[in-house]
Amino acid sequence: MKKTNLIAVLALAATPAFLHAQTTSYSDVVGYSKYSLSAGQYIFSPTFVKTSLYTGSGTVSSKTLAVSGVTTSSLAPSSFTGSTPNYPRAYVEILSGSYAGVVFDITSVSTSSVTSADFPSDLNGQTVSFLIRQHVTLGDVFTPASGMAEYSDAITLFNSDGSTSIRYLAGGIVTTDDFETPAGHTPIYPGSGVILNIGGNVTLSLAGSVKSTIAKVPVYPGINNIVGTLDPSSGLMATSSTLATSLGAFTDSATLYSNNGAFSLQNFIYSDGESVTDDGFNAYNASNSPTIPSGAGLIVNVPSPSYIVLNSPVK
Amino acid sequence: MKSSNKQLFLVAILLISSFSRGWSAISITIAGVNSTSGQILDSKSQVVTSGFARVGKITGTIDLTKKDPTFANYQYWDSIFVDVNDPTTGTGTTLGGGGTTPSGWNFSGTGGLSSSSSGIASATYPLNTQLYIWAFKVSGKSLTANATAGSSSVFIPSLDTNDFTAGVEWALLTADEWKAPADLGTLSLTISQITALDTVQAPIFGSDLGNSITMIPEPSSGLLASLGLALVLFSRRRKQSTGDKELN
Repeated sequence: MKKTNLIAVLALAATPAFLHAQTTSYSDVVGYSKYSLSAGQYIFSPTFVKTSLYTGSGTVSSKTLAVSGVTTSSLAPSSFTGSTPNYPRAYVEILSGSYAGVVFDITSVSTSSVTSADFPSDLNGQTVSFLIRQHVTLGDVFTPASGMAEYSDAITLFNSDGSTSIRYLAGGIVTTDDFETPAGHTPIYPGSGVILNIGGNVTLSLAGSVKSTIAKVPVYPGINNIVGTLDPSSGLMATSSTLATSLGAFTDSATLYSNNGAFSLQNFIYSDGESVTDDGFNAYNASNSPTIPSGAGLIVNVPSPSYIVLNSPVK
Repeated sequence: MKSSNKQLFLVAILLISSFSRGWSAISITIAGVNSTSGQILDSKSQVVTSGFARVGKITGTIDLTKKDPTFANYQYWDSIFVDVNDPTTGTGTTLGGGGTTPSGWNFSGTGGLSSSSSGIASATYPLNTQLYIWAFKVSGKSLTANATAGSSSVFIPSLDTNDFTAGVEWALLTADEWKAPADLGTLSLTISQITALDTVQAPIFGSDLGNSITMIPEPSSGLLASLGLALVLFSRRRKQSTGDKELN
């Protein structure tokens, strides 16, 4: 994978997002990246998120947060009939407290509130700072891509329930593997990614906001969790990441594959509770640390549900 | 901790962590839905509305003398065809990749084949394993859909002499691009990828029709067609010679 451009990274005046006034102005850092891929297999993890549509604070009541000044109808999940799958279109990202960095899908809306059925019970009654973004989707990433071969270049997602979703381009849009049912609205969760199998050269052009707060990427047992870096500007050294504390000591693993199309195994990454290690539990250091390239990711396997924390690349 | 105890500890930990690893598997899609992706058609270039497709690897000799859809030839190919969605364990079954069985691998009313088998053991189909589609036009037989990878049940129907008496057409196909991906990857078997320029034997049984492929007809219908043509030609020659005599 060759990242050829990082053009027009504008650092706008950013104010901390956890001010309590609902009218707080929050400016994202925005950017643009191009990824040039040759034929082969890749982990691809989008490095941008979409612009925040709302920032504020409120008290969670019955899994609901009050909002104002935002068109909530655009935040509701899709509601296709027939065989077209439905997905959440937007999420609440908690910015304060123990769930800071965790995103929860918006599952229903009213004109003045958003609800997530996924809010854990211990959030009820808590006052939190939060923002709302729309999901980055497969259509955002792959419909404008150049070089994708319809019917043959495959996009694979590993779902949290253990199922696998496979998507293709057909007739100019992203579809399910029946090559007819629209599926461009399939979300790619922040910090997650897909497996991409391509037969020729493909260029992915991404633009969006650079996440300026931490992300907590959920990982689930029994599946191959794809975890990226959310850093559009440079690779992430394992020794500079939070993997030492995010991975369960001795039990959780992260696997780095090559991102030259060969998809050959490069490194195992474990934790001994203090440092990231190889599979002999020898600590990596700055001179031998695996590096996760921008746009690539790890396969993370865990025996129980947890989070991988990604620090913001915005310094 | 003694060195030997530390080694045992590390081995134990690695074993525990290996059990938490996800399934080492690949997915395979058939892309045969329209004239752009290519379709598998019957011997008369019509859409197939009854039958199914098997996907797998071949573990024996590709014998072109066995291309006609007869029961004996079927038994030969069935004995060396390892399906991606056959169970990986068990007795009395053809051990395969353990992948799911999609209903889209049955010919639909529109004659298309699509959808994916997932959870195919990558150990059984390591990187670059050559893959094949074996497609059947047959009445009354279809794959049983199953969304559970690793099932010990068989979801692929067997054909018998009655099926071949009633008439079976088939195609055995492959292409240069049809090689198993790396672990966790997905491969699309796109019918339009089959060309006469493939370095692998492509198509093996079947005729290239641009983007699409036509099946090989049952041998009896082929013979009848040949006899019918011979009869027509003989009849024309007799009329010509009679006419000549009349002219004379």
